Amino acid sequence: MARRARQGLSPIQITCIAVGLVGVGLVAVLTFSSSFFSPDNSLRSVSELNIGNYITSGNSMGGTVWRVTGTIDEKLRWTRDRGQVVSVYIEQGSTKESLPIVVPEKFKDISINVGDRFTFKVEVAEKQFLVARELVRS
Amino acid sequence: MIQKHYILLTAFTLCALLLECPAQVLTGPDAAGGATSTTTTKPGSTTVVNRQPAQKSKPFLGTDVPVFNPGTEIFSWDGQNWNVTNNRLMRARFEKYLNTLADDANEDEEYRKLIREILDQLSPHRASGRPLQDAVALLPRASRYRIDANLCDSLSQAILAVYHGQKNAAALTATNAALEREKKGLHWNVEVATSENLIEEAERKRGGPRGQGQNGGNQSTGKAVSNTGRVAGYFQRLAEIEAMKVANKAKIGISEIQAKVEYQALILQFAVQRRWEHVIIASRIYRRLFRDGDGVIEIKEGSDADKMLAKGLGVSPTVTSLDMFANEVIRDVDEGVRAFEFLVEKDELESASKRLAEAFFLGEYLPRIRTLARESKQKVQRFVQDADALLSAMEVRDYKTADDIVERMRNGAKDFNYSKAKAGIEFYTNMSNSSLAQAKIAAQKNDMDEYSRQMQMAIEAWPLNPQIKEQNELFASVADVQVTTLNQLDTLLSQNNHREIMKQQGRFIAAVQSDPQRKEQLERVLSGAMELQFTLAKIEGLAEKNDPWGAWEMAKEANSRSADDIELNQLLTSLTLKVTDFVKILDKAKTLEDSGHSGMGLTYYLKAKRIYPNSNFAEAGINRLLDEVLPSSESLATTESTPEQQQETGPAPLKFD
Repeated sequence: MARRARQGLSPIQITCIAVGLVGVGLVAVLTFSSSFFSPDNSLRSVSELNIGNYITSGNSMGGTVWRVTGTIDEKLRWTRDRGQVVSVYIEQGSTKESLPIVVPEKFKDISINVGDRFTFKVEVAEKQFLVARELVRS
Repeated sequence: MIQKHYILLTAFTLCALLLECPAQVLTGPDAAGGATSTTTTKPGSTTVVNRQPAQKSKPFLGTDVPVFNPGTEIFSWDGQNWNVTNNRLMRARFEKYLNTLADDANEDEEYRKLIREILDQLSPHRASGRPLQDAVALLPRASRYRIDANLCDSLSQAILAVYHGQKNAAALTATNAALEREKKGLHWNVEVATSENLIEEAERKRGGPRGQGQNGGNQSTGKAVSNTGRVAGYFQRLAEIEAMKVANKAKIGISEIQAKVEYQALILQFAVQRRWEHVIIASRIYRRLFRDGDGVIEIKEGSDADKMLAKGLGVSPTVTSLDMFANEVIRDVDEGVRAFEFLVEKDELESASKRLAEAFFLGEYLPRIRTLARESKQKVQRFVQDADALLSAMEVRDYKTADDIVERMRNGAKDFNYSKAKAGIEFYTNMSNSSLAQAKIAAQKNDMDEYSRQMQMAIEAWPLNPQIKEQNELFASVADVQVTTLNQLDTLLSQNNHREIMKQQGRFIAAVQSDPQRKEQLERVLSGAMELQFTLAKIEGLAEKNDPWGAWEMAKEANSRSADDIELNQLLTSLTLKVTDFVKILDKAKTLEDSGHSGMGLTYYLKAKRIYPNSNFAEAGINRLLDEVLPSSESLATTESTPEQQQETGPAPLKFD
C-alpha cells in the first residue's frame, strides 16, 4: 500500500523556525550594536598619523589627534601609578620609525608588552609628545 | 850655652827690628809704677835701673819681654807669635839680602881693614905704644864710611864723655887736695890761737908782766876775746872745707858712675843692633878707660832685663862677657856661612837657606855675611822665593799653585821636607772635592739648602778649586736650560698643545721640579694627555672592529675634553664621515631637545638608537627627555622635595591625564 505524502509545515516546525529567525535577528542586532559602539569604531574615525609629517613638522601638529598602529618594541619607562612611555615600531610603506608614546595611568589595566601590537589614538600634546588617548590590541 | 846664646841673639835681633830705639838695660816698672830713673852703686858693680814712665793698664806693646822657643822657632812677644824663619818681615829682609851684591867695593874693603886695625890696636896682646889713643884716633875715620852708620862717632862721643868725666873728677880731686891743705893750715892756726890763750892765762895767774895792773888785765881780756873770734872763724872755714870735700867726693863718684852707665848702655846698644865688631871695640876701650876692674852690669833680679840677659847668658853680664859673646857670634856666623856654602854645593837648599838665614839674622853686618857672593846666595834665592810663594799660596788657599810650587821645590832641593805642605794641600783639596760631590748629589735631589751648604764648604776649603768654577758654569747653564724649558712649557700650555708637552715630558718634568705650581699643572696635563692617548687607542680599536658609531661617540666625548688635540680632531672627522647619518640624527635630536620639541627629539633619539643600539648619546638623550615627560620614581621623589629644589633640578613633569 502506498503512503501518502505530508502536506505543509507543522506548527512545531514553524515555531522552531520562528525562534531561529528571532535568534538570528537578535544576534545580528547585538553584533551591529557592539561593532558600532566599540573602540575600533572610534579609532576608525581618526586619521592615521603620517610619521614623516610628525618627525619633520610635528611642532605644527599640537593638539591634533591621530591613529597609529604598531608593535611595542621597547618599554622606555614604566611607573606604577603615573603611566608609562613605550616605543612603538611603525611601518608606513617605506617609512619605518619607532615613535615614543606616552601611555597614561588610566590604561594601567591593559597589559602592554614588547611585541604586542596596538592601535593607538594619540594626541600631539605639549612639546610634541604623543599621548595615547585610546588604544586597542590589534 | 850655645842655645842660650841663640835665645839672647834672637831677642836682640827682634828687638832691633821691632823697637824703634832700644833703651839701656831695661827693668820692668815697679808696683807703684814709678816714673823716675835711679842709679845705685854697689861696691865693685854697677846697677842700672831704668824705670819706664807710668803706663796705662794695657800699653801699646805691653811690657812682656820677648820669649823665643828654639824648639818651635816661635818668637812670642806682647801676646803675638812670630815664626822666626817664616815671618814676613824676616823673610822680606832676608830676601832683600839675597838679592844684594856682595860688599866688595873698595870703600867697604877699606872700612873692614880699618875696623880690623882698630881691633888690632886694642888687642890685649899688644905690648907697647898707646893703644887707646891710636884706636880712638881711627874712630873718626871709620865713622865716615856709609856702612858704619856713624856708630864709631857715637863711640867717640861716649869716650869723650868719659874723658870729660874723668877730667872733671881729677879737677875735683885736686880741689879736694887744696882744700885739705887749707884745712891743715887752719888746724895749725887754731892750735896756735888756742896755745896763745893758754900762755896768757898762765901768766895772768902768776901775776906776770902781762897780767899787771888794771890796764894790763883789760888788754889781756881783749886779746883773749879777739883770739876766740879768730878761732871761731877757723872752725867755720874748716866746716866749710869739710862740706866742700864731701860734695866734691860725691861729684867724683857720680861722674864716674854716669860715665860708666852711659858707656855700658852704648855697648848694649851695639849688641842689640848686632854690631858685634863695635861691641868688641867698645868693650876693649872700656877696659882701658875704666881700669878699676869694675865691669859687671848688675841687673835687678826678676826684671825684664834680668830675663833677657842674666837668664839668657846664665851669669851676670859683664863687659867682658859681652866681648866674648860678640866673638862667639862672629865665629858662629862664620860657621853658618861655611855650612851654607857646603849645603849649596850638595843642592840641599832648604838647609842651606836656613843656615844662611840664621847667620844673617845673627850677623847681618859682619864681613862674612856682607861679602858673601851674590852668585852663591842666588842659588837659594829661588828656593826662598818659592818658599815664600808657597806660604802665600797656602795662606790664600791656592792649593793648585801650592802643589806646583811644592813639586818645583822638590825637584830643586833634595832636602826639601814637602810632607807637611803636601798633607795640607791634599787634606783641603780632598775636603773641597768631597763637598763638591756632595753638592752635586744634593742638586740631583733638588735639595738646594744642602747644595748651598756643601758648595760653601767646598769654597771655604779651597776657594780656587777649578771644579767649583766648572760646577757653577754647569749650574748656570742648567739654570738657563731650565728657564728656556719652562718658557716653552708655558707657551705649549697656553696653546693647549698637550700632545707636544707629552712628547717632551722628560724635559718638562725635570724643569718643573722646583716649581710646585707648574708641577701640578704639568701633572694634570700629562694625566689628561695620557688618558687621551688611551682613548685614541680605544677609538682606533673600535673603528677597526667595525664599530664606527661607538668610536665616533668616544671620539666626540674625548673632543669635549680635548678640543684642541689635532690627532683627535682628525680622527673624529674621519669617523664622522663614516657615520654621517647617525651623527645627523643625533644632532637633530639635540637641536629639537634644545628647542623644546622634546617629543620629536625623543623620536630622533630612538631613531639614532635604532641605527646604533649601544649608543650612549642616544641613551642619554632618551633618558633626559623621559625625565622630562615621565620622571622616574626616584627622580620624582627628589624633585618633589621642595619647590626650590624643583627649580634647581629641572621643570616639573608634564601632565597628560
